[in-house]
Amino acid sequence: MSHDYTLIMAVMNAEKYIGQTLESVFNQTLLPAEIIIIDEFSTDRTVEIIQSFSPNIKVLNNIRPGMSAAMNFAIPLVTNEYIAFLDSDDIWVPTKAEKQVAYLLDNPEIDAVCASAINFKKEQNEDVEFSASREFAPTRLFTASTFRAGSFEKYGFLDESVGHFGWLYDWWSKASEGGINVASIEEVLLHRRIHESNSWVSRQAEANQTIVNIARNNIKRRKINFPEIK
Amino acid sequence: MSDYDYSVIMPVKDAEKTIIQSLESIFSQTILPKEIIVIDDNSTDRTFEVVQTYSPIIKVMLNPKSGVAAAVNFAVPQVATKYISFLDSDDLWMPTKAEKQIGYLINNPTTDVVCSSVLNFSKEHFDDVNFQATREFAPSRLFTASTFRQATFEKFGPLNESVGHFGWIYTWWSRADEAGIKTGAINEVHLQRRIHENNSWVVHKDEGHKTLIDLARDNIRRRAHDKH
Repeated sequence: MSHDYTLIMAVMNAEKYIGQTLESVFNQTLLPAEIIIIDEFSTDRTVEIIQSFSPNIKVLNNIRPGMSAAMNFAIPLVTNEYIAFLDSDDIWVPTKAEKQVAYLLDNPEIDAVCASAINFKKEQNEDVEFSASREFAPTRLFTASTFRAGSFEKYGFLDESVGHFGWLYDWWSKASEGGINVASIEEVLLHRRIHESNSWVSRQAEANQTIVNIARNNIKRRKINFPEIK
Repeated sequence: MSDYDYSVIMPVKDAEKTIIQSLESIFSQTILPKEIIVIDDNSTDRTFEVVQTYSPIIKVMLNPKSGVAAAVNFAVPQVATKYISFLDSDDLWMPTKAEKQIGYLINNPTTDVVCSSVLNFSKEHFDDVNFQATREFAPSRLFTASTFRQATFEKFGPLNESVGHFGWIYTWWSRADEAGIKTGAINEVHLQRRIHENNSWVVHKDEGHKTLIDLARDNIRRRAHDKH
């Protein structure tokens, strides 16, 4: 039984936090068998920092624009049993991979397992300050989850036409309709950094519009007929 | 002959509505191409006539097979210049695209291909605003946002015509990455991509996803084979 998993990350100009993020990966009690990083042609020291961690990290350039395209490029390259994702500013708890992979090994009917997350705020690189943090119950953030690689074959790849905020909602909507089995571990395994350049903060209007669009799509796809308002 | 001689390959199909705008964006380049090779995928509208009468540097030919990958494979060996770029019939180049990209390749002789940033735009109104708003993206290796050396295709091979409308871009880059292709990037918008309801990722979504599944399976088989 294989514990092998691939970590996929999409990065762009992430020199500020990528070192801490990768440290949290290399501190895992179960190390990834493979790391694939899709770099959107960073112009800062991001790639140099990545390569200083290990020459075996595969750094590829995106072939189509956007995060969902980056992931669609990377996922078919994975030949391991499990896939995990991480953002360039977030941090895994050391036992994240070990616990989630073990869970999937013990529960063959489960397609994906997620975990609780904690938000943290910090300004200084060195001084990790978790005091302003808030803990959340398990959510199906890709970065807090481990997937069987076959999940994407079963429930589809990411829709590249629904925008930066759309693909996550769209994918889970369709996967749920397809009957995906998701389990959760009630334990914080992901630390999410909250800062001003988080895309949900800086592009809120676009995000909200996207959610409306995804909801409309779902209604259309599920052929829900609401009574006409007279 | 100039150091900057390049060709543009345009695979087109039923594009009479937008093709002139795309061609205008080529003819507005600060450095004009030596030739434009338009491969018409058996259009049923007036695309062929419109293109044929537009300029003497345009060569229009019918695609002997069908599909974008076949069109590109048909066109690439006919190119008589050192550099090749591509444009879709609904997208637009910014005026300095060719000049800056070829300049980059001249200054970086070990780079096989160079790409630039992309701006999505949507000129029409949709009731169902299901599209990415006008937005700028970091450079990515879209063929239409890039300039290649002709030798790059000799080095890394032609496009795979059997992997569907979406497959060729994924397979070509995956193989080229494995073979060590070197890509450069310019952080400046050189391509404007029109987002509309007929974009192939919207229309052929299911086919696109099926292609990725096939690629994943192929890759697993190929790597398992390599291990033994």
